[in-house]
Amino acid sequence: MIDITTTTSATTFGGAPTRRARRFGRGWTGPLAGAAIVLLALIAFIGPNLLGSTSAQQIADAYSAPGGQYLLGSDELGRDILPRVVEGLRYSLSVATAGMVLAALLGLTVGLIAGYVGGRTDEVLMRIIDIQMAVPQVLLVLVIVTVLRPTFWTIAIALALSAWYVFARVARAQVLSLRENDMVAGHIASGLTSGRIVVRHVLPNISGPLIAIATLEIGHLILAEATLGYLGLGIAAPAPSLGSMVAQGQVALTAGLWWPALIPGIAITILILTFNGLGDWMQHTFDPRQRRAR
Amino acid sequence: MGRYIARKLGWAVLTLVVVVLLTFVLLRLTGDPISEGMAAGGASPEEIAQARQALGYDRPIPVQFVDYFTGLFVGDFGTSLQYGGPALTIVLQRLPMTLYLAAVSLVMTLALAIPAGLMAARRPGGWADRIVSAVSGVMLSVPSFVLGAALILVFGVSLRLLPISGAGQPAAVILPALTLAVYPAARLARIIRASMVEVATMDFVRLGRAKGLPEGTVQRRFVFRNALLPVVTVLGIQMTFLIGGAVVVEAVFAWPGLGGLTTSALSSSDFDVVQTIVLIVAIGVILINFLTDVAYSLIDPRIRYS
Repeated sequence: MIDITTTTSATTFGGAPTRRARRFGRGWTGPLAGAAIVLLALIAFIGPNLLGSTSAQQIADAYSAPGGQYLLGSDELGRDILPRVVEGLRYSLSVATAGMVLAALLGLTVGLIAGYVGGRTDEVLMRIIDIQMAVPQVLLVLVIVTVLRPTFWTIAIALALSAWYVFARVARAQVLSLRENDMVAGHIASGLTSGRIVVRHVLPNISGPLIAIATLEIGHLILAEATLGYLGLGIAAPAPSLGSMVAQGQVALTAGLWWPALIPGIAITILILTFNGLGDWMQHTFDPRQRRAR
Repeated sequence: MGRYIARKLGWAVLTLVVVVLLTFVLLRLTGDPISEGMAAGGASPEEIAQARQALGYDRPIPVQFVDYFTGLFVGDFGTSLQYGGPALTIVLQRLPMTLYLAAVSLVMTLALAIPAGLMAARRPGGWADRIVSAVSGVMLSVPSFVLGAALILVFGVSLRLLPISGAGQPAAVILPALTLAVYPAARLARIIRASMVEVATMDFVRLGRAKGLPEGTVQRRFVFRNALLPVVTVLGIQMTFLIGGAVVVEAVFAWPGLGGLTTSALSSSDFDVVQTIVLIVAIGVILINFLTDVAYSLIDPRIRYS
């Protein structure tokens, strides 16, 4: 068997050996994406207090084009799209972040144990991951959410169960390389307990790559939640999910009315783009192996 | 090689058994579909009890599982509540359309990714590299159903060039396949570029140039061949993605494959069909992973499985 997990994470964002390109390509994407995330989060969490109702219907105003009375247009029931998109952003960010935190807790626990204990335990835990990988993420999330009935927390749990192994793998790989390290050997020699070594000395040392992975995973989970919404298996109807807004808006596409589907669609894309951009940038900044490769 | 295949096969069987078991338990965690569906339809408790007994839902879950599991070996994958027929037949009827979509999509993925990746790798940091990097960055962030909606608007509604729904005409496959191909193509283009750039800095490549070989030969024989390994890995991963992605893309374009069946089976609690789909998909994923391993040993003579 060959270990291929390390090479697959080496996706690059720009990436260039010349100094000019490095300054251009690396310097600003991360901070820019980070600033965009802060801005989107502010809009998402403060916006609903400032904007109008998400459910007020003005049937006479159905399918108003963007730019007029409704800044981003109105949908098939004459509901203002702007507050609905903002509410959708808030929901999307919250559920993806909750899912990521749960996934990280589960994944870190498993990964740290597998890497630190090793042997049989490690083998069994990694096999569980292999088995899970046989079912595509979309399918897994769909089945879990359908069974548990879609609510905020069941969706977060389904997302977490679909993403935990990413954290487990990264944590395990990092622990394996740290375990041979003199620092850890020294701590073992000085009589520290395993739990203490892992929490106090191993975890801080692997936090860089983990934060990068966490950022990228939020992006993936935003996509997964939006997909659930699009397929009509996400959070129940009155709550505006960006994915279900696209699905409802798609009916009007054939009449050339693009905004009910594409405005929430663009919002999801921007959201994912910012997390991907920041995550990729962090991965390059925190990963010394990749830095050397350039 | 024989022992290697035997071990792989053993793991594949174990994986499938666990997948079947977990799906079965998961699907039966929250009551059974009969009571719920019939109660919603206004059936009396006696009628519900009768139907449950007839379909075997009144027995303990372990008994149901053993029954279901032994049934699998004689080709009995259960009955579709939604369509009435055997679950396996219904799934197998839809499977070819999904495979067709995935195959066309795979060709498009390669046709987009290989030229883009090679062009970007030629001059790292150059304009082609930056364009490929930026475009693939966006493509990795657009959900397939948003891209699909945009393609419907442009090619189906505005330009009226391509069919946007169903599979009635031969050209109907183009938009769904393209929608499905964009994400894996972006991933693949990036990995091709990264891999080519990394290999190009290695000593044996410099040796090739120092020997005075033409640049084209160096690129083809030294760089490309060695850069292929991570590319095959990602291609394998992306092929498994195609299966999952098809669920969504088929919903966008009303493509009559497994994807639409999955969502309708889930929302109508047609558990045996869901179970069969999960099993078939898992077999597909295991098969792709196995083929990826075989491809490794073909590309890199240093890799031998034992």
